[in-house]
Amino acid sequence: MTQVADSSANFVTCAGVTKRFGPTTALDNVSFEIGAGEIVGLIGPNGAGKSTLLKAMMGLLRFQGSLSVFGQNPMANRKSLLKRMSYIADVASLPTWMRVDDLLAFVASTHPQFDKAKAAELLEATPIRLESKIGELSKGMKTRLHLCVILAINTDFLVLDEPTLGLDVLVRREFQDRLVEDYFSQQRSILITTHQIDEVESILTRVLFIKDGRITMDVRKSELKRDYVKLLVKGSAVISDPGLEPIYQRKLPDHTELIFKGADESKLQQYGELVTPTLEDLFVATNS
Amino acid sequence: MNSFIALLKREALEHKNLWKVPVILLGIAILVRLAFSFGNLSISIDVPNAFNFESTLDSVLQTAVGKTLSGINSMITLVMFLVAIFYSLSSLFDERQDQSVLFWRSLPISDTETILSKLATALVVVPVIIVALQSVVAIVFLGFNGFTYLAAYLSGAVIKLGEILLWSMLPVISWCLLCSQIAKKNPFLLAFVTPIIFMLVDNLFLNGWVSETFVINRLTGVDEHSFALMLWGVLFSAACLAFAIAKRGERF
Repeated sequence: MTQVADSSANFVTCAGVTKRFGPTTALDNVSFEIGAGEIVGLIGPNGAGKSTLLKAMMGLLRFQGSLSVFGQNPMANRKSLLKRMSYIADVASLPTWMRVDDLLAFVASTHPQFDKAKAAELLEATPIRLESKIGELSKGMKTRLHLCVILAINTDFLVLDEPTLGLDVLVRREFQDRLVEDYFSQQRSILITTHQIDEVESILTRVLFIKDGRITMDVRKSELKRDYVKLLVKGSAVISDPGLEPIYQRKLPDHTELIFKGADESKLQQYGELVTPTLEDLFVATNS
Repeated sequence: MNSFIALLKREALEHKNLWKVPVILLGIAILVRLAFSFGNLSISIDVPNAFNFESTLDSVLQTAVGKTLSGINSMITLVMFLVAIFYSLSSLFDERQDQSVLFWRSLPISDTETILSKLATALVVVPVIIVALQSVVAIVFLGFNGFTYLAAYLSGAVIKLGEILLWSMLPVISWCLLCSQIAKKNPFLLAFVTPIIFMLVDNLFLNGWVSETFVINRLTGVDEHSFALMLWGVLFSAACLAFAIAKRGERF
C-alpha cells in the first residue's frame, strides 16, 4: 500500500465537503484523501450520501467545502479532468437509440484515452453484438457494455457508482478481476460505491463507511486485521476484564459474537475463538 | 475538430427526422413531377412571401412545372425550418429525460461544444440539407435545364437563406435550445407560451410596441430589418446559449 504523504500527489483531496438539499444534509463535513494504487470502497446504506459525494467528485453538483481531483476543481475543469478520471455515474445512462458500434466510434473520437480495440476485445467475450441497438439489450447487458467501455478508457482514476448492480456472480467476478489486473497493478486507483459489502470486499484495499452524510470509518484492509477482532463465545458472553469493552455484540442461537477495537488479543483468547471480522460485521458495528 | 464532427454525427443518429423528412420531401417532389409527365396535374402552392426566393427567374418559371418547382422549394425551406425548431426543442430535453446526459457528460466534451454542435446542426446542417435538396429537386423537375436554373436560383437563394437564418432562425433556435435545457416538463409549452404571455402583457401595458419589434417582426420582418435590430437578435441568442450552457453544467 502506498501511503501518499504529500497532499499535492493525492488523486483526490476532500476537505470539509458539505451538501444540503433544502432541509436535508446529504453530506456533512466529509474529509478524506485518495492516493495512487488504492481500491477504495465507499460503503453505506441507501440514502447515506454515496452518490452525492461521487457526483460532487464528478463535477455534477455544487457543494460547500473544498474538493480537488488531481489538484483541479471538478466543476470548473471538468473537461480536462476527464482525461485523467473516468466514471460511471449510472449504469442505466447509455443512449438507448445508439448502436453499439456507433457508441464505440463516438467514444473513440471524443476520448483521447479510449482504446477501441480493447473495447471490442472485451465485448467479444460477451453476447453483445456490435450491430445491436443499445435499447434492445437487457438491463444486465447494458451494464456490461458500459463496463467494457469504461475498462477500455485508460485513465489514472476510475469512479464507479454501484457498477455491478444486477449482474450475476460470474460476470461480477470477471469484472472485479479485470479491475485488479488493469488498475491496481499499475498504481491507478478506483473508488467504488456499493450497499452490498460482500460484493466488493475481496478486491478493496481500503474502506470508507458513510452514514447520514458522514464518514463513520476510514480503514485500510491491512489495518483492519490489526485493529479489529471478532470473538466467538459459546452461549452468552461474560467478559469480566474492565479494559475489554466490545464495540458491538450480537446474540446468535448457539453463540455470541463480540467485536473489539484495539483489544489485547491474548486476554481475549481465554473467552473463545478469535477471527477477523468481515466488513459487514464492522459496518454494522460502526453504524448501529 | 474530430470530436465536433462526432458530435454532429451523434445528432444525425439521434434525431432521425433530420434526414428522414428530406427523403420524404424528395419523394413528394418526384411524385409531383411524375404527375406532370404522366398525369394531368396543375398544382399551385401558396407560400408566405418571406420564403419565396425568386423574382428574377421569371423566364425559367413561366411554365407550370417551373411554378410548381418554386412552390416545392419554398415548402422544403418551411418544413425543414420546422424540423430544426422541433429538433432544437427536444434535443437537450431528451438527454435529460433518458438520463443519457450522465453518460455524455462523463466524456471529455465541454457543455459549450455540445450546445454549439446542436446550434450548428440547426443552423448549418439543416440549411445545407435545404440547398442540397432543392438542387436535387430542380434537376428532377427541369432535367438538364435544372443546372441553368440552379446557377441563377442559388446565387439569390443562398443570400436570402442567410438573411432568414441570421434574422429569424438564430434567435428562434437559441431560444428553443434554452427552453429545451431549462424546461422541467414540457419545452414546447415553455417555448410557445412564454412569448404569447409576453405579447399579451405587452399589449395591455405598452401598446404592443416591444413585442411587435422583438417577437412578431422576427417572424415576418425579414425584408425590412435594420442592422441595429439584427444585432439585438444576435445578442439575445448569445444570452440564451450562454444560459443554456451554464444550466447544463448544473443539472444532473
